[in-house]
Amino acid sequence: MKKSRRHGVLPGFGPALGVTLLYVGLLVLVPLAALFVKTAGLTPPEFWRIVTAPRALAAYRLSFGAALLAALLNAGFGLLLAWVLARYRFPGRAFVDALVDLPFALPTAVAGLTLTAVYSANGWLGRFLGFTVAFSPLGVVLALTFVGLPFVVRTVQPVLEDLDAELEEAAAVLGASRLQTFRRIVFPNLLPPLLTGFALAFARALGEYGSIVFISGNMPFRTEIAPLLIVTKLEQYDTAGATAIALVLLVASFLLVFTINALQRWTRRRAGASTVIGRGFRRAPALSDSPALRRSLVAGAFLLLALLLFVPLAAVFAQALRKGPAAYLAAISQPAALSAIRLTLLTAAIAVPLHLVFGVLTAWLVAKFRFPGRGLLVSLIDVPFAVSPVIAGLLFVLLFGRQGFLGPFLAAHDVKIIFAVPGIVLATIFVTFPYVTREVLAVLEAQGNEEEEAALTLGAGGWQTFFRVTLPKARAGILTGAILCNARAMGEFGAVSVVSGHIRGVTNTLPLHAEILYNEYDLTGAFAVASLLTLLALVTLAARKFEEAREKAR
Amino acid sequence: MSVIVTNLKRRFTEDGPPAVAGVSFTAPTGAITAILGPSGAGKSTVLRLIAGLEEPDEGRVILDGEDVTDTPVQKRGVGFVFQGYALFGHLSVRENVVFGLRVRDVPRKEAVARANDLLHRVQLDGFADRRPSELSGGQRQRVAFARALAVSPRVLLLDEPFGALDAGVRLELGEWLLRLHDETGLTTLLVTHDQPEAFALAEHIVVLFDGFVAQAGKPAELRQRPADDRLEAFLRVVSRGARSPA
Repeated sequence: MKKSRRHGVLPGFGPALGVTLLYVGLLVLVPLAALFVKTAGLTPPEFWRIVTAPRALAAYRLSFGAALLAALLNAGFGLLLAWVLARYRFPGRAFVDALVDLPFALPTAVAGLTLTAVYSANGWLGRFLGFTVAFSPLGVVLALTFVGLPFVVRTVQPVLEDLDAELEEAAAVLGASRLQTFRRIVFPNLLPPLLTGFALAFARALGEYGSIVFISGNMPFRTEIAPLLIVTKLEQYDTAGATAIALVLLVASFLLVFTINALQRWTRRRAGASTVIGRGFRRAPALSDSPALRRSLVAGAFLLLALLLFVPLAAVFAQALRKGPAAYLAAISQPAALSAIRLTLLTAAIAVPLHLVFGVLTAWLVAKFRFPGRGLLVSLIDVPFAVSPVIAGLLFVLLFGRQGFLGPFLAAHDVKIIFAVPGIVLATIFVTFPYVTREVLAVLEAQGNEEEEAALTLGAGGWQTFFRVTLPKARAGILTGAILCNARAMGEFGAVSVVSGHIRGVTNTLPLHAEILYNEYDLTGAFAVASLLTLLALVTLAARKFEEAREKAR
Repeated sequence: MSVIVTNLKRRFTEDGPPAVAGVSFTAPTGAITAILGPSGAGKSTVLRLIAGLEEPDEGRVILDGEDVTDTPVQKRGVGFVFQGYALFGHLSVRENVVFGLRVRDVPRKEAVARANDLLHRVQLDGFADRRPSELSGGQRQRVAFARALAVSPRVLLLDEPFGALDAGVRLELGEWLLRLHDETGLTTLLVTHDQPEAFALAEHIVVLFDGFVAQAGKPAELRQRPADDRLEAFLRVVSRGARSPA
């Protein structure tokens, strides 16, 4: 009796907690601990010397500076796109709404590849610019802007859509002009999600690796970002140096995560405060924006998306098919390409089902029960999003690499994890950790407990309630989570790159294969492989939209 | 300050009946006029047309002899209390009341003095620095009144002002509204679907059915001579006598 009162009436707390702790502990906590233990092996002066070396300082400067600039740009772009999508109906709106998420779905290697092609000195757009974008710090900003584009849109848009029309009407009745209403009523309500989106975009940009290696040129002191410095040090077998830099980056990421969590709580409070009881009226025509303003904002949104998304997207296919369909088919049916496809599919086939089972269970635990450490658990689930993919890979090198904690043991038993398939699978599992849990958790929390409680009063047992009530309810979240998890698993670059060893035909996934071909100046081949990954991203977006539409129709 | 509407029409969907299908009535100066009807009758739309929150397809809105049909909502000088109050959640109670004065460039000091005065009038003296979310439903409602009154409106438009409150608070606030009305003498239009409420508060009642005026007149007239059977049935609730007119 006492136990059920503490955790709620729903059964299943004990087993769910046990399994979840094992899942989070083994896949997130243990690898993270490895980083801290390894760093602790350095003496403080050694550590200080590594993390304040001139080359490291230059890398932080570029990483933080470019990430900040990109996040600022995205705050402006995101506000524009969110406004246009939330407030206007125009031809192509559904298309734009779906495509805004492309940077979430498109493997970062593909983004880097195509942005480099489009913005290099003789590229489709680069040739019209009087300055260099690719292979300069500006290229880094461009790529980071690309990968962070959806964050502000997706945090601001729902708040803008839910903002009650009555608030703006009240301001108008009181005599406020449109501009005054925006400045004094609308914008203050958008500020919390705007800052949240900004921080998310900044955090994402800080850890980004895949797109940067293509576009930056990777020149030390000039276009070398911190994650790249980590990889360089690893390639020189300087594990300690790589770990020290990684720790600096990791601490910065954690601080950002705390900030983001605080901002999200603020957003929820603000949203709660402005909630209006009453039916939602259609926005009054007297209060809509003037046609001229509407047209210019929509045009601005299309121009922005054309430069950042449409043209680079088209360039992938144009480059892939440049030498005709025969060359394209030949490129994707090489043995090395086929083996990369097989490995990519295998990795996803392991990571996605694993996260489906344990992610749903974790979401159920967090959504249905209150227990000490619950907040910490939620934060831990999000950690893999905050950690740079390069660091994710490094964690497994520290655990299983030749000089890693388990290295000697593994060598003695002739088990190979790093530079082999198991390492690739593990790194992928780490970076895809949050997707299913987060999506399912959001759905479960939105729905509350009433239906489960009804099932219990009708005599259903714990498992029956879970399988017959909770699982069907969470269907949308489970599917969306699986779709996103799959896209990331197949497209992951940084983490996999660190643990793969790039053995052609053995440990190359599709994104890695694209990089190898690119480095060998086989552009057609690289873009052919990239086109497959792009198709995957487009299918992912379409599947998600389809799922959303289905959910809305219910 | 009378409110006259003539042949107001407003259609929201291409097919289907219009929300407001030709409504004309006069709300007399200084009186409380109730716009009464079942849900979907077009009551709120009429009120929003008078405020300028909707544009009519046809018809005119005349405030005190002045045709304001083409005047934008910002310049109509109406006070509007929204059904859900629409208080600005990110501003304090005082800043909510001050808002309409500040956007008119009334000096801050003067605006704050007026806000404090109004908050005193609506018995919310100690609440000026609270956020709306910290207030009860009835308190929020009074803030909405104070905010609407702050800009010295020509008419006061109330959209289901007691709709979101429970019965006890409704009764109390109804009496409070009558006192407030006695003090200000402001021409007031009140939308409600609740017959006893209309009869308790209004000196003049306009009954709307399906976007048309079914009958308009003093409460006593409506009760004694309902225009047809449907009205009689609709108003029967009142004759059973839940409350007596004020």
